[in-house]
Amino acid sequence: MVEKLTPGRVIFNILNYGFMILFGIACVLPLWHVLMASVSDPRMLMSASGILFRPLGDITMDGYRMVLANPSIITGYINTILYVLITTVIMIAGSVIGGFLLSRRELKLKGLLAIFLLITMMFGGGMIPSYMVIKGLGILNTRWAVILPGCMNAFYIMMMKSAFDQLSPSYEESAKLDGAGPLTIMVRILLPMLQANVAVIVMFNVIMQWNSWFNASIYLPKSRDLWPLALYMREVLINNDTAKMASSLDAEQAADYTANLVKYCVTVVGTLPLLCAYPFAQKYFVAGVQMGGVKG
Amino acid sequence: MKKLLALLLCGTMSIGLLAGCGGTEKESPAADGSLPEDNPEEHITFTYWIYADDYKNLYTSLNDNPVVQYLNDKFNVTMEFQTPAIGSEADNFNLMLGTQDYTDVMNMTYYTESLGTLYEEGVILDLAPYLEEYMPNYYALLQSNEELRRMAYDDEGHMFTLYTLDDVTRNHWGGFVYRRDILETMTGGNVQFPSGNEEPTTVEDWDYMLPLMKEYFEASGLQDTACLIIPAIGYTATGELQAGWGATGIFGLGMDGETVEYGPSTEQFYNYVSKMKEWYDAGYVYQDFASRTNDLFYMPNTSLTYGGAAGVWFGILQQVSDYMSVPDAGLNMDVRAVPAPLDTEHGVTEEMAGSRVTIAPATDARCISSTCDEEKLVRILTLFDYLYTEEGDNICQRGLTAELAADDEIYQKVGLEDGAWYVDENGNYCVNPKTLEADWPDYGMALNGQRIAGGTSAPKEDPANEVRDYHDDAEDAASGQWTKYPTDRVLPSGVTLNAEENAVYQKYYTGINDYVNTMIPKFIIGTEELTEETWSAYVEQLNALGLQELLEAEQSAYERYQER
Repeated sequence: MVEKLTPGRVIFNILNYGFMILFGIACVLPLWHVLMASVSDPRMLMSASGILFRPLGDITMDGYRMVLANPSIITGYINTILYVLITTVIMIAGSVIGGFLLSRRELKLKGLLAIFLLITMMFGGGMIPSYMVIKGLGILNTRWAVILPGCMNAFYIMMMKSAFDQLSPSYEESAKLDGAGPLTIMVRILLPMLQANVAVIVMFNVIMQWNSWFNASIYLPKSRDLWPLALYMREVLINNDTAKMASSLDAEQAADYTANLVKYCVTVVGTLPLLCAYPFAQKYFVAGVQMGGVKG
Repeated sequence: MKKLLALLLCGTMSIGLLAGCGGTEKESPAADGSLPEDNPEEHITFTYWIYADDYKNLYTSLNDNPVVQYLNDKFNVTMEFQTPAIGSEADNFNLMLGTQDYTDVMNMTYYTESLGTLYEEGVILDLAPYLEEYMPNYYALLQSNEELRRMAYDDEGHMFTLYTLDDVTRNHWGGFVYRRDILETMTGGNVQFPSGNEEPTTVEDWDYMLPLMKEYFEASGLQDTACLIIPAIGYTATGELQAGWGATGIFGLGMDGETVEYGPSTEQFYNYVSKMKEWYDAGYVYQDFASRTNDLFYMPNTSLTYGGAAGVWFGILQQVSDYMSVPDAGLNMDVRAVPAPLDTEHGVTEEMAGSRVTIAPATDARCISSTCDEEKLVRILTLFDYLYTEEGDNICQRGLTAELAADDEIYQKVGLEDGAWYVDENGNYCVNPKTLEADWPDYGMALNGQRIAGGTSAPKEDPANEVRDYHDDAEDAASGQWTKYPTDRVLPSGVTLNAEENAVYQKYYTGINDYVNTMIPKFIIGTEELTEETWSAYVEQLNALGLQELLEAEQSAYERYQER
């Protein structure tokens, strides 16, 4: 059916497209500004204001050279990839098993278990108790201090529970008639139908872990070589702390123009992998979130 | 096949995971159980909390700093640094206190409460009983200078911190600067200050300078310009600008040199604010000053200062001379330091102003926590005492000598095999000329030990013996301008409030400070009328907020300090 274009529809389309274009520009412009600044002349960058539409002065790759020459950035990349991979694998396994379990009608104390999980979504233990737990476990200043707290998320378990709930019980009944056990039912029958949900959890977790720095900043104070990229990036980006500026030599260093350039370069280097990967995973997003949504 | 692949992947992941478990701890000099010949004491490890720095890609942990390595070897210790991520220092420090997971040595830059309370709670140690025996050099230094001694001890004779002593007169790093080139341009090279001086020194001189700058910027066609940039609160908390009007920063000593006063409540401060208002109305003061973030260093204004659109601002040493010029873009700046202008109209002379100290403990002092047993404490004190000797101080502040650098990987890597400094035939301390070359990379503090000791430079017995190695002539001249005025009205940093006074401080200070920081910009901008009557009402309101109680607390603390 071809939609009839009424004047109202035309006006709506113009406004709609106009708004979407403006919204798109608002999203892209900061990224563009950072990209242009990262290849600009550092001295001219210091004196610039407003958004950059093109590089200032001669295009320079000095900032990228400095960033990539920094061993911390490479170490950070490796650590981040490791944390992302491990937490995602454990997270998926835990969320699927947890969701499957909570979706079983015959599970005893199901309500109590669900409340247990929901409480963790609403209340946190706080920084000091969490630190004491990590310390008590003896994993302070090790990779596990970052991995373990990032391995489970009650929200994802509830999301998977909701997804399992929506599947018709007949799939499971047929499988049982064929002699399948719970593990076979979960892994070989039901899970293939929930690929979109799994993809969403993977994507959410990858983004969260990629940007995560707080746990590492608290739990890895003596192990800088275990820091994720986000924490190194944060250091570079906020390296203008006024308390330390009061110390004379730090303040003198503030006149280093390239420091400003490096901030933009490190932002590009840190976000580029995710920006490149996101469009390929986007197609799973809408379907996955909708499937996992609670329906009345 | 799939199972094999999965197994392989799991194996790879596990190996990768375990790779970090080995840690990076370097083998200590006594790791094999043998004791170094020159140091028969048992090897110890002590932990040290300190904020991180940019290590210039030379290493990733302060543990690997060349001076740290040297000190480790010399004293048969391992200093294990705990450096939080930049930006998380305060959180990390408070977490350390909250979880009682103290390191042996703690840098106190991020601690703002009373050290006496920490001592009473058993967190830190009193070092006074150990000083004479285990830190003879530091002890002698304190005994040789009455002011330093007073600052180092509290009212009860405790000593909680080990300071690095900062000779401000030789290492003054920042202050107000002005664009001399603008004045030269506008007067055709015939700059004539009313005071007759070569540089602007009085308010009258600034009244001559600022209109010229305004005229220059108006003709330049630049959209956003500022003849004079002042902080968002309208004054400098450390007192640099209003010192010219005879007003102190926050707390200072009155004209009698004995009574503690609150700078923003004084008559001199009224004169300062009146002048700022006059300059604001005339378009000399940056019109958006109050809406900028309250940043000591005006970082958001770099587009003005580096863009050539500012006339006078709070600058740093590396901005003076033609350092900020961009000849290719036709921007040639001659930036010079300028002291606070003297308010001669109200009788302020050079002798009455003052905002700075000369030799003072640097802010990042170190405390030793109660986790140390006596043996470890003694070893730590012995190490730190070495940093107060001439040799130790030089190595810490300047880096390794040729003899020590010969075995150091990092020094070899950067090409400083012949050391960072040496003593010439006349006994002068000289830096390696290589480091003064234009293309020498800025390694900051990565090659010396200043980060572990903090501060900049301890006073030498004979400063004349020292070669001015870090700064060129223009920077020395700037430093001279910024330290031009005497310091007799500065409240010594060693004045400490007792628990009762601290309670008064906590009760009133924030309210008073917030009120002042709201009202002063309003007076300058004109949203609040500034007359003698409104100023009196403002002072009355400060008193109603508890100013007198606060001053009494500060006064009694100062009097106790004088009696030390």
